Amino acid sequence: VDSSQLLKGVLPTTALALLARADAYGYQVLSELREAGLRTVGDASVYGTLQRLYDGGLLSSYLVSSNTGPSRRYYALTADGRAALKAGRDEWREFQTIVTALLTEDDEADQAEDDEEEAS
Amino acid sequence: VTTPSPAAMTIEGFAHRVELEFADLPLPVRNRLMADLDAHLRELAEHGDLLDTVGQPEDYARDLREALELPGGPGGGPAQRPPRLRPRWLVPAIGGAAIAVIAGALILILALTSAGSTSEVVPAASALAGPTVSVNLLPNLIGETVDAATTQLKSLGFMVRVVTDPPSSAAPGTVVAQDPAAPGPISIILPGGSTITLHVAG
Repeated sequence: VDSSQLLKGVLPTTALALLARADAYGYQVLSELREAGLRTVGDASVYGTLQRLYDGGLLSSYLVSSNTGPSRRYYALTADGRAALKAGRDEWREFQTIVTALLTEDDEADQAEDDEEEAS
Repeated sequence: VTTPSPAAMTIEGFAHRVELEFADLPLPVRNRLMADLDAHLRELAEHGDLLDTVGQPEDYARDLREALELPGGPGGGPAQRPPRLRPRWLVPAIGGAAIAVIAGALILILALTSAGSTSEVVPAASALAGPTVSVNLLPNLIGETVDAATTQLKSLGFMVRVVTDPPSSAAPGTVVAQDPAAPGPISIILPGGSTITLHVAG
């Protein structure tokens, strides 16, 4: 299984979830996703996702100047973004319930086959 | 025009190689994309070596194209439809809208305060925040413990910087000053994500 394909599907919702906790700039979102365990997530995917969420009106943004470096572009959830997060959460819960059930059945089927082999 | 630092040269080199990968995109779209990307890469470069953080420019361009749902790509031929990019970084809005929003919110708070309502004006700020500006009320945290103050600021979306001052008559670990200050009982309003410096008694 190519986990990057799985990641692609959940990246927008996970980014919305992080930004629902606190406004953040691009690098923060990237490093929080990586710290959470999504170690292979790339900056281009996160940055591109944030831009697309912004284009879709799910995020707003503002610049915060820094004394030590370039300005940072912070992202914040809009009302549409909060609605999308809620929808994304519900969708994920339903999806993961279904997939977990399917995978569990497969495991049990495998176990049953193994038992048969041992018996014969 | 300032002389590019070594880091800036790296950013330019990286951006140039990314741009080569976007040669199929219409020029206005490409220029937009590259201007935004340049600002983003400068942010990233603050956190370490660019190549360590983002990998090779060609891979970066491919991932970015995919995440932005831009047409084309390796072997994908020329763009078939205009990408969904629109003017994005409304920088002047930060100045104009923020001042309007802050002024409006302050007037509202002053009105509420003078009317005898001294608590819970937070919704005023969020209700007034425009699409590109988020503002938060900055509370007065002097006398709080540094942990309580930091938690409160972060929950409001502020960044926190802690400076330990020399020991004083204040209890160690309590906030003795903050920058910017929240004058009197009225909280001031700042863009969300602003950094607040807490001075803590040593």
